[in-house]
Amino acid sequence: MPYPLLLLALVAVVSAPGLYILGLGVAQFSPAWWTHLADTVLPGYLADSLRVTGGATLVALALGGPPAWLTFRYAFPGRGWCVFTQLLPLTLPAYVAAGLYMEAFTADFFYSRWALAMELGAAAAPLVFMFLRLALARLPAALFDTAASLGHGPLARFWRVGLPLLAMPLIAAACLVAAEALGDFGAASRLGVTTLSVGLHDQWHALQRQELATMLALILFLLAALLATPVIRLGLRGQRAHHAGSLQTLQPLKASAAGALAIHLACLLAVLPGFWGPLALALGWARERLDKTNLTPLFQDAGTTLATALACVAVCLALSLVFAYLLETGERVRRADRSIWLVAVNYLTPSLVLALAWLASGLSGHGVVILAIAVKLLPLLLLPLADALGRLPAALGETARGLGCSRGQVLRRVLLPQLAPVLAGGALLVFVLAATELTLSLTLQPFGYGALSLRIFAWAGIQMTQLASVWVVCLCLLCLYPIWRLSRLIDHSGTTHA
Amino acid sequence: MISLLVAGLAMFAVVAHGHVNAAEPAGPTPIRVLSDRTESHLKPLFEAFTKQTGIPVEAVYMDKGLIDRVAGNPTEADVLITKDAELMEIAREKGFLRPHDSSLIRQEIDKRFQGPGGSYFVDAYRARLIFYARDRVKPEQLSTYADLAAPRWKGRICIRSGYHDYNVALFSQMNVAYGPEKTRALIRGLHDNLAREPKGNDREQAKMIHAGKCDLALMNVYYHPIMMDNPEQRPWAEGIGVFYPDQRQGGAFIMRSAVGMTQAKRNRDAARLVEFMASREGQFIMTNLTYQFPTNTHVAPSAKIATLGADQPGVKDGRFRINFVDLTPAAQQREAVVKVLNEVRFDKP
Repeated sequence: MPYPLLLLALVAVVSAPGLYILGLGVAQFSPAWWTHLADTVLPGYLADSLRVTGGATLVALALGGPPAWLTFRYAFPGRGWCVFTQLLPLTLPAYVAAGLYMEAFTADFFYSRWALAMELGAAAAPLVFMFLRLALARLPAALFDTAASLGHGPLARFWRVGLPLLAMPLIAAACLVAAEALGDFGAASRLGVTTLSVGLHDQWHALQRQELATMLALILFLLAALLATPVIRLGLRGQRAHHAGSLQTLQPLKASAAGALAIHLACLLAVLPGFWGPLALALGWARERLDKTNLTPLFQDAGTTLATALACVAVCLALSLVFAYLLETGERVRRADRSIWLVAVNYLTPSLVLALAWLASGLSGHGVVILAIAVKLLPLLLLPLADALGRLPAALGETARGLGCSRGQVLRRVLLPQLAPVLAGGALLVFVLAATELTLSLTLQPFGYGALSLRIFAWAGIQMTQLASVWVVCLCLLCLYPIWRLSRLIDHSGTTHA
Repeated sequence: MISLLVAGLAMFAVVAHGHVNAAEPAGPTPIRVLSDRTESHLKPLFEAFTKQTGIPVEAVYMDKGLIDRVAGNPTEADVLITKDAELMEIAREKGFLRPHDSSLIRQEIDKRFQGPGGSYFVDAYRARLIFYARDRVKPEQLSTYADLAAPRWKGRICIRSGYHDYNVALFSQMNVAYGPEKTRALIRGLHDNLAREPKGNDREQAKMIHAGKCDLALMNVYYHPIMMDNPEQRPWAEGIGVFYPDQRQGGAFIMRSAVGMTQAKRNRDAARLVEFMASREGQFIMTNLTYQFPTNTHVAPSAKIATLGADQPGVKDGRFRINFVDLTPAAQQREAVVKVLNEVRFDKP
């Protein structure tokens, strides 16, 4: 079978769960229910979703953007620590932070849509940070040098050169955050904010009608896909990018002592609502409860979480390598290459609804949980990989093949060493998100299965997040090393393109 | 990187093989239970059953999507336990349940709580009552569910989402008992009197009463003793009284949880678990652990719920007038109720 066809077949298989749900959404679409919902609650759901999504996006940009710039542009003692801390909110998903804040405080704010926007934005700020750091690492210094030699000051260079170059990545980051916020269910339902996701879930479960579930998936997917379009276009542009020779990127400036202190403070504040605040609450309760906690189930849940996350990484890596092999055939077919973006359909389909596809398969077991989470998170590894592959000079592979290397040898000996940082970064991100994943695990969990996120969720559901505090701290600890490694990769990413 | 990949693949293979194609363990086959109840409510019952019989029980505690999971794999679990019996009725209508003709259930369980043809039985019930702030509301001011729609309660009522199973079940029973028009007026009036957007679970409403954000809430009766047992939640419960509505009319509505067997035939012991939950021992454990009312006619309710409402005329030793609505017609009202909730935009005051 020709490689492009194999690629398309693999894309179809991997995308099958999301495509199945969307297909059901189209097939089962109920005009009567759509009309009723449109006349009654849908406008309210949309309005709430827009407010929360807009707020979360602004919060994420505000918390993730400046630290990205500051830690890239300036060299100062403890810069590695600052980069590391910016990623820590990934270890405390929004539904965990929401539960901790609600348990600790009774003020109306913590039960409001503004709190939800803050929590979702704080949880998504690391995505903005990573996005922008990688984009900043690709800014060519020559453009800034040219502007400087024409007499433009630092602010003018940033405004007239830097910002236009960063516009697309900023928009893409904002859209990614918006898509994430739109699809959130855990935190929104915890706070009782009737976003589109929560509202349609409520309708589905109150009526026990699957067509409402698939309608929900269709609506959210279309909205999320619209929001994700700039991300996809940016990625496709990267896939088509041709390397233009050696590019010197911006070199960091040495910060003064006062400047370094200010940057540390800014980085600390940026992570306060999404990590330090909730962690402080969890640590306080954990300290009180540790000696009363039966550690056996804790270790079992941690072990299962670790095993699941590692297995998800393995599945994602294996699939990504197969895709990379199929992409690097030397017979590039544009449509086939672009088709890998279809795998994002799983990521953009709400997890509670995506689970229906796996339930419909009739399969069960720990392996199903792993596969479901892995194919959902696969875009986080595969799409940056495709982007990186597109940026590599075609001459690398051609030269190796000319010297007698097979396709496999080209991939293993020539391309993988170049792609290793991207693969490692994606794998670490998949690990963290798989470890903290809740919705698919909750719906698909087999008998005898326990995970940290499930235990936290169970206790939060009966107003006893304090009991879950030891599990919350354990979840953070489990993710610390991968976060640290990810931060090292980001901090060392591309000062000079080879 | 390659070693990580190999290690992860090996782990995946071991895990997947171990769980998807699990060999039967030595000893009795575990009974598999699928439930949307909380683990703390069921685990002690299962432990007592295992201690008595030596048969292990494995349970999956889902929050939502139980019927969808059963639809995807009808024989994955042996036993279903639902917090709302209407879901069990829906499962029965979809053909997911296997009737179990048990003389114990027929003889011990109140006839009203036995499902059609032995398909399931209600193992416990709890009334959905008015919880009120003792320092701001006198019990003499309370009377019926319909009175909650009166203008004098404007801005004083808290409730969880109208779409939650408990409230849909409550309103569905009202639709049968009161009729659609009266129920619509009640839902609309209740919505107009809300102090805040419906959010959180039942205990959250008690927390809001304690915080002074509202004076009344509709909650399940067993949360009062459950909160009293919890040091962090006890202050909420101490300032709250419990009132059984409609005691001079048709009676208070109840939420029922149910137990049924699936079409799976892999485990003959599943029937033993079901019967244990109907037995006097099982019902005794259940009522004293979860503070729900037992359906076994030989078991008295826990003393902690028997004393609630004692200062209310007509309520004594936990006995109160029940407005009993059959599950089948109640389940058929869900769609109508949801449409009313949508039309009044219940979750958005």
